[in-house]
This record gives sequence, structure tokens and C-alpha cells, in this order.
Amino acid sequence: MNVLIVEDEKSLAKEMNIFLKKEGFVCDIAHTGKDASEKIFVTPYDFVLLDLGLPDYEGLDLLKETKESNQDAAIIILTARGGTDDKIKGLDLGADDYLAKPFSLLELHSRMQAIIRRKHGLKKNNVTIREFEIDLQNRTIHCKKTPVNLTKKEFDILHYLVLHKNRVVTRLQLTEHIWGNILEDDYDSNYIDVHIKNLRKKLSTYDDIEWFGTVRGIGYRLEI
Amino acid sequence: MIIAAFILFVPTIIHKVALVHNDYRLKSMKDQVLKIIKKVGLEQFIHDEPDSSFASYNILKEEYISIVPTSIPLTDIKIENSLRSIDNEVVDYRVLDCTFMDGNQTYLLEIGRSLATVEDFDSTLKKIAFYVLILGLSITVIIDIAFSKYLLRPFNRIIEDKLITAKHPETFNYTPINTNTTDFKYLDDTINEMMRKINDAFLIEKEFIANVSHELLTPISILQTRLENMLADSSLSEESALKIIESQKTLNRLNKIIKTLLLISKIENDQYLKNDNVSAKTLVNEVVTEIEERFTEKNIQLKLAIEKDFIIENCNKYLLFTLLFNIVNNAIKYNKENGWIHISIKENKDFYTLEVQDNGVGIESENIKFIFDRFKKFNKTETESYGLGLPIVKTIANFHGLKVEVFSEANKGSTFEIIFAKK
Repeated sequence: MNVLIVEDEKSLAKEMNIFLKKEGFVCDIAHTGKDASEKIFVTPYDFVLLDLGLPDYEGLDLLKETKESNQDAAIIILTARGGTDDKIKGLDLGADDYLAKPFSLLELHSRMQAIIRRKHGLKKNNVTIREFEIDLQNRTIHCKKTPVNLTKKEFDILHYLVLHKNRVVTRLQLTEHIWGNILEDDYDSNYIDVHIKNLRKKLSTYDDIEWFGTVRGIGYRLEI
Repeated sequence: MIIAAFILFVPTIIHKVALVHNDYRLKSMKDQVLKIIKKVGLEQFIHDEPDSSFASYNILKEEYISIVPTSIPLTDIKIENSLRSIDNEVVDYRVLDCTFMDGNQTYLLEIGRSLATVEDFDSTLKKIAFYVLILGLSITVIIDIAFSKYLLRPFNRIIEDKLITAKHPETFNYTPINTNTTDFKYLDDTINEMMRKINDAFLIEKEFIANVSHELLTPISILQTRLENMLADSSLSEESALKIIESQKTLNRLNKIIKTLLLISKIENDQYLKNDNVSAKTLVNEVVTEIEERFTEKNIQLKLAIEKDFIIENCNKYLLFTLLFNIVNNAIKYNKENGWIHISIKENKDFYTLEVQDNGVGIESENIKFIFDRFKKFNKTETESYGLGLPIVKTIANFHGLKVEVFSEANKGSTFEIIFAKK
């Protein structure tokens, strides 16, 4: 899959490139709106990651251009300006998703995966881990055909770990994913550990869960 | 007042008019009778017998005419009210007495009209006067209203379109009002001008906040992604990985503080709308659903007592959720092992109260007045919060015009009350 990273901050573009390359994407980088405009015109991209804070170009205009010359491209708009106007306008103009900076690269990846699943009409979305059968679309999990009852948050955590399987997900990344939208006072809460403990307890009553690993001090990793 | 004076005098005037009219009628009748007598001769009415007289009245005894020979000398016409008995019935009449000569005999001609008929006439006139008055009043009022509405229309348009519906400088209606009156035009232009200035100031502040947001959050974004990539390096030693984790936590702390301060600035700059209507019970349930799994860690019991649900009108749902979430989160954070939290909604004559009570560590009385100050932390073991939870609560409460009251005792617990005034 090709990705066009439109970002005037060179360091940020570089880090996004490193990460996406590891995940198997082929990336082009444009630091100016003009450069991006030309690239969009010439190459069909699967993804355009568009920073709205470009100094030389109106980000939303670039969005319109992409929609015209590159209809199949999925567009994710990124911004640090924190206004809901940008979000609404962008989505209205046809952007597929919106991420506020600073964002986790894992979060960016999971949004891209969601778009890929949607675009390719992958209705059936099952993951099998040993005896567990997880239906990501319908949000159910069964062990040897018996349903496992998970709370919404427990399922969200499992889902996130599955999306980034075989990769260490830090407690911070998990916390951001679950409670990122709520502005609360704690910055180092261990509430996520409580949820993981409950999740593990529930799963282990059905089958063994040695694939659900803890990386001490860092986070969790599903070895699938 | 003129109308009141008018109403007072009219009945009297009408009464006089009725009498005058009646007397005029009597006189006219008298003239007619005398004319007839002259024409056909008195013998038609008075026969040649001694004590002959003439009386005529209608069945209803409303009028009578009598001609009687009399010995009184000729006098002037007299009109007065008098009782007369006809057919054994006594009736009140307005009587005209008139003497005339025929041959050598003086006759007394009496014409009477019952006061009842005069009354009738009187009341008919009064009725007509009343209806005319009502009609006149209505027409006057209607013309007044229509006229003033027409004249004041530009003024009302200004108030309606510009002042009442002006919720926000960005949504203000600048279209000039159609009017030729200089005063209204001036008023319209001035209001437009003032609004433009307010909007400019508002936009400058909004732009400033967006710029600050961008300038502070971009470097954080760079650091965050760089640290994430570093952590993904499999050749990293455990020691280095842990150090990177610590740096990420520090960065997250910085990120949260900036985001919270920006939120407070945006709320104070009126960048949030208040267009939602949300049920208080629904809000409580949503917050509880979001946070309930945190109760299990300290084994906290939650009790809900929603006495009365009510709709919170013209609010911002996202902000109110944030407000309540922070209060309940505090109740959990500062609670004891096996403690409880009670959330209730009560109603009273003038307001609704949403109360969150816990039996946790409480707040020292000398500290209570400082809890809403930014970055204030009192619990010495509390190192994981940055002290902006309650300032957010205060800012959001102020934005909605809500009052937040705190009651607390050290080691006993705390109660937070959010007070919603009834309209």
C-alpha cells in the first residue's frame, strides 16, 4: 500500500515513515502543500496522511484536490490546532478519519487498518487464538463455541492488542486508546492494569492464556 | 382618563336626551291633536252630553290622550311626571297638559307617555352609545397597534434578528434592516459595528489559542512518535526500555497539562456552544458506565438515588460529562478501601442538586477554599495528578452558570454539590 505523508515538520514525517515502513507500507513524504499537490496529481495513493497546519497551503484545499484527482485514496487529517471546526469541515469534505496531534503511531495504524477493512468490504473479521475465536466485527468472543462475556472496555483492550499482535503495547498506549477522549486529572493511573487483570481472569477460566504476555514494566503483548 | 370621564357623563346626557326627545314628541303629538280637532271638530271626540270627555289609550297603556272640559283658566303648556290610574292600574306617566278653547269652553288636553317607554328609549340609546363606544375603542386600538407595529417594525426587527437571536459573534446576522428612519438606521449600524468589533476580538483570541496549541503540541508529537519508534527496537536493553517508558510518562504529563489549559482557555473564550439538552439521569448513567470498573480496585460501593430526573437545557454535553467524570473520579481517588460513593439528584423549590458524596479522606477545612485553584494538591502522597481536575470543573460550571459547593471533613469524606437553578 502507498502512503503519502503530508507534514511540514520534518522530524515528525521521518518518525511516521520509519513506523509505517516497518508495518509494510511504502511511503512518500511531502513537506509543502505545493509538493503534495504535485505528488497527488501524479501518483495514485492508497492513503494520504494530511497535516492541516501547512504554512504554504490550505490543508482543506489539498483535501479537495485529493478527492478530485485521487478518488480511491483514504484521507486521514492530522492537526495540532485543536479546533472542532477543522474536524467537522474535514469530515464533511470527505476525509475518512481525523486524528489530533499528538497521536500514538499505534492509534494511527489501527485507524488505517479500520479503513482498509471497510474499503475492502471485509465483513468477516475473525481472529483465532488457540481455542478462542474472536469476531472483531460483531464484538463477540467464543472459546470452543461457548461465548465469553467481556465488558465493553475489556473487549476494546483485547481488540487493540490483537490489532497490534506480536508487538509490545505500552500501558500508556492502551490507556490513551481507551480513555483518550476524556480529559481527566490522572496521568499515571494504573486503572488499565485492573482491567487487564479482570480480562485475563475471565479468559483463563475457559482456556490457558500463555499467549497473553506481560512485558515487565512496559506493557502487554499477544503472541499469536 | 378621557374615556372614563366620557363613560361617567354619557348616561346622564343620554337620559336628558331621552327626556327632551320625549317632551318634543309630546309637544308634537299635542300639535297634531289640536290640528285634528280643528279639522274635524271637537264634536267627534266630545259629544253633546254633560260631563262628556274623551280618553284614548292603547292596550299596553303606553300612551293616552284625554280631552276633558275644565274650568281652569288658560295656562301655558306643562309637562311633568305624574301617576295616572287607568283601568285600575296605576302607571307612571310623563304628562303634557295643555288647555285650549273651543267655543266657550276651556278644555284640558292631556297627552301622556309612560315612563316605561321613556326608559325603553333611554336604555336603547344607552345601548347604542355603548356599542358605538366599544366599536370606536376597538377601531382606535386596532389602528394604534397596526400603526405602531408598522412604524416600529424596523426597531422590532433589530431586536428580534440581532439582539435576541444573537448567541455568538460568529453567527450574528449582519444584514442591514430595511428602514428609512435615520434613528433606526443609526441603531442598526451601531449594533453591527459593535458586533464586528466583538467578533474580531473573539477571532484574534481564537487564533491565538490555536497557534499556541499548534506550537506546543507539535514538538510533543515529534517526541512521542520518536520515543514510540525507539521502544520498538528489539535490540534495546530492558534498562533502556524502562527509561524510555518513564520519558513517555513525563511527556504524557506535559501533554495533558497543555491540553487542559487549552481547554480552559477555549471555554473562557466562549468557543464552545451550548446547544444540547440532556437528561441529568442519562448523564449520571453515562459517567457511571464509563468509570464503574474503577470502583472494584478499592472495592467501593456505588449507590444511586435519583429522586427526580430533569432536563439540563442549553448545555454542552461533552463539557458536562467531563465535569461530572472528574468529580466522580476524585471521589474514587480520594476514597478509602471498602468505602462508598453516593450519587443523588434532589429537587427543591428553586433548584435541582446533583450530589456526589464519598466517605474518603476528605479535605482539611482550611484547604477547602483553595481546591479549585490550579495546580493545588493537598494529599502529600498524591503524586499522580497534576491538580487541574477541579479547576476544569470550576471553569465548566462557570460556563454553564452552575454553582458548585463543597462540604468536607478530614477523614470523614467529602460532598460535592452541583446546583442547577430552575428557570
